[in-house]
Amino acid sequence: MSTESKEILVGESSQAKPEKKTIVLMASDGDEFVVDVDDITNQSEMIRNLISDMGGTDGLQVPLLNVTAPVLAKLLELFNVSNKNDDDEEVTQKVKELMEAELNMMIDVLGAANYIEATSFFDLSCKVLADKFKGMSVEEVREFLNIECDFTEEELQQIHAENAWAFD
Amino acid sequence: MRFHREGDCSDILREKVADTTKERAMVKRRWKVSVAAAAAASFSAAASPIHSLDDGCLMHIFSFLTPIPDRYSIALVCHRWRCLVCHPRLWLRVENSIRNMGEPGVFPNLEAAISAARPGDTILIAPGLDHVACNIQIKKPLCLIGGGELPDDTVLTCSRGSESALEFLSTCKITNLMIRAELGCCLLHRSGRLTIEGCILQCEENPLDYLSFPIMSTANGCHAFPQPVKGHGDGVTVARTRIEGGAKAVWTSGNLVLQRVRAIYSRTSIFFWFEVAEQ
Repeated sequence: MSTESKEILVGESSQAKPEKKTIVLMASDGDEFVVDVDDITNQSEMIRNLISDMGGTDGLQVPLLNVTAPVLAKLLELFNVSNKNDDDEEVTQKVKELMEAELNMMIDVLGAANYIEATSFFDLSCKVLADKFKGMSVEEVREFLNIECDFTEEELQQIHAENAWAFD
Repeated sequence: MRFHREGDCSDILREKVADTTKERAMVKRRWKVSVAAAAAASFSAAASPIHSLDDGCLMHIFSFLTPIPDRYSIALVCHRWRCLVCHPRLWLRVENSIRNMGEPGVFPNLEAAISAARPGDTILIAPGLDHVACNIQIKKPLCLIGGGELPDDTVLTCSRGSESALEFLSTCKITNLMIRAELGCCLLHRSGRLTIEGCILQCEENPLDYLSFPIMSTANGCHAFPQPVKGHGDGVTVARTRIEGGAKAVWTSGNLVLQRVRAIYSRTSIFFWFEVAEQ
């Protein structure tokens, strides 16, 4: 209990940090990432809860079984951007660019953010992704995300008929 | 060891062969191909990383889309997306239980839900409660659904002194609802296309007032702009709906007329199918 409250103090007084506390995140392929405790608990609810459950950060290793090393690296890089900027503008811009360039990677990053409960980052990325296929036709969405159509012609017609009321 | 023939690679052999990275990649690829082949019939998990996201994730993404047109078009993408995008979790709900208050998408009354709804949204009205609907104007395309097993589980009551329970100025759909008007009419149709499916419309049995009609339409059918496709103008479509009381079932003051009427007489009531459209 006492160690926990001390940590919160350290987190709040940003000027006088004696030394940064770190924990180790382990990707699914065994790669280890050393991260600053404040930086990660700022973002991830899961890790915040984990630390408070464990009663400290000493030698803490968090295995993330669903997250591969490249995805985790990208996620941490984006957390960094987000931590450095108070408003979301910078990180939104960055996520937008990455969605453009490496969509598949970003989809995995999105899944990872959900997994470690990085709520605000997850929200923001979902919004960016949704914006990407806003206004696209069905075929465009399928092509954009490489999804196969698994409907039969009859099923498609049936859905059209069900939705007909909404279209003038 | 390396030059094994295709088709004779037992598991042990494969393990040994996989020593060099090149061959490991080959085995990996073969494994991938076989998994993909097995899955391809129903689910294209291997093809698209978007399928690796869980349902909650996808629904969160969909929640940022506007119902019309985006949610309707992505419902046609694949089976899984259709299930998720049409899921009641993305609907608005009218409930007045304290328990769910404050949850996103839950509203204490129909008026609040309608004003918060976006065009194309679906509003689910909880059964077993007293819902009051007096002159509620609907100006955007919405779908109202009664949450009960049967339409009379969810009753909207329009008290005396109101012209109508619901007034439609836009294309809308109502289904599985019972609408009871003590005086006046149940549904007042001003414009747009109104679809009524599996509902009960109930008016005063012996109306003194000549304004008591289950459905009233003042729509003119003619638009400032010519409609590109025939049959896409104003109109009312009624299906599988019980109509009780009122001076007559439908009253129109515009130039729409009653058409294609069908009725099924059951022991206790009559179910109607008809259209009100331009002739």
